[in-house]
Amino acid sequence: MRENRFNITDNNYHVNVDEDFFFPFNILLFSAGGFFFGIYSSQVKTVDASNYDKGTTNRLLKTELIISPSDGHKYRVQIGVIEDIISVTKNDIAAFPAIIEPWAIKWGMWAVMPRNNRIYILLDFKYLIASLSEKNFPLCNDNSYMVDKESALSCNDNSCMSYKESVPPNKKLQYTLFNGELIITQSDVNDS
Amino acid sequence: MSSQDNTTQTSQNKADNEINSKAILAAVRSSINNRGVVDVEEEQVKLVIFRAGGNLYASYGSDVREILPSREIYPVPFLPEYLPGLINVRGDIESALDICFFLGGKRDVQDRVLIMMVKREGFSSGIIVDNIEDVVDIPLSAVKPALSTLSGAAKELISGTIEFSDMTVALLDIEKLASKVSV
Repeated sequence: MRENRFNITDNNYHVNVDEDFFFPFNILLFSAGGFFFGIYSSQVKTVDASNYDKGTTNRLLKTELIISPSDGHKYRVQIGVIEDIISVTKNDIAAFPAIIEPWAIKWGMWAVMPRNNRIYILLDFKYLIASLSEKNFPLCNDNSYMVDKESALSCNDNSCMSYKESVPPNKKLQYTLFNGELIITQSDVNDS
Repeated sequence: MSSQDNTTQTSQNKADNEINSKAILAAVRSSINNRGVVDVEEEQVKLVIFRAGGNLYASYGSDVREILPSREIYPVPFLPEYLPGLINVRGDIESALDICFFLGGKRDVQDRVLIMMVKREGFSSGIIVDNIEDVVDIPLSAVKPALSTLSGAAKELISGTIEFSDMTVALLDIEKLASKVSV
């Protein structure tokens, strides 16, 4: 069996696997904050597009995913627009260029996929949420973390400079990502 | 002075002149020959002269893989400012680097940009450029040391200067750039 070594994170997490073992798999393509993403459809438990307002040009925050990235929790993820669910093979995806990969992997972005004159960024919510949990971000009163600079600057909450350590561990957390278009909320309560 | 003395003196001057002329001619020939040897043997380097952020730079041609027609940059969230995103090079995904972040100048924000692909050992990336001015072959001796007045990132990334069209052009060191941007 031919083996390939994947360096999944910067935490020296190595696995030896057969190159073809994982393929093909399905990914769900969506847009948020002007970026195009793909996520493992296996991490998506529910898609709720009932709030999607086709009648307006405001297509933000209308689709909601319930994801379960195998960390024992469920999360609500508000995104822009779902585009497709496709099956991918190893020939469809590519690694980030070497100088970008260390930055991307910190945010759960593990590969890219050129498709239809776009480049989709493949997100692994397991690593994204783990990464978010490790970082300290400005926090608002509603326990929303302002991860991106634009959101932090536009936040009117004067307490935005307080930090994660002040949050009680059993509170729901919310991360606002990608120009405010992708909001992740820990949501274990009766969401399935 | 006797006439015999005069004759001897004249002969001596004549001989001196003859010797000098021969020596001078030999020196001239030697100079020409030596010059010819230098011209042939002096190592030449190919340089790509390009403009980025309005400023002129040069890069060794051996480090430049190709110049790509203008194309779209696909942004990636949370990258540092000097990494505007990704480019698609015939199906291969490469990074785009904005050297203006390190070296100054202002890049026009455009949908499509001209890219100079550089490669040095394990490092490969696109560099956003305004345009390619020229590709020249110059003697290696024409590459002068970098200006001592450089500071900051420019001091790290500029390894020399050359004269091009009566202007002093900074020589961008791709190896140092690779070290600078590699995490």
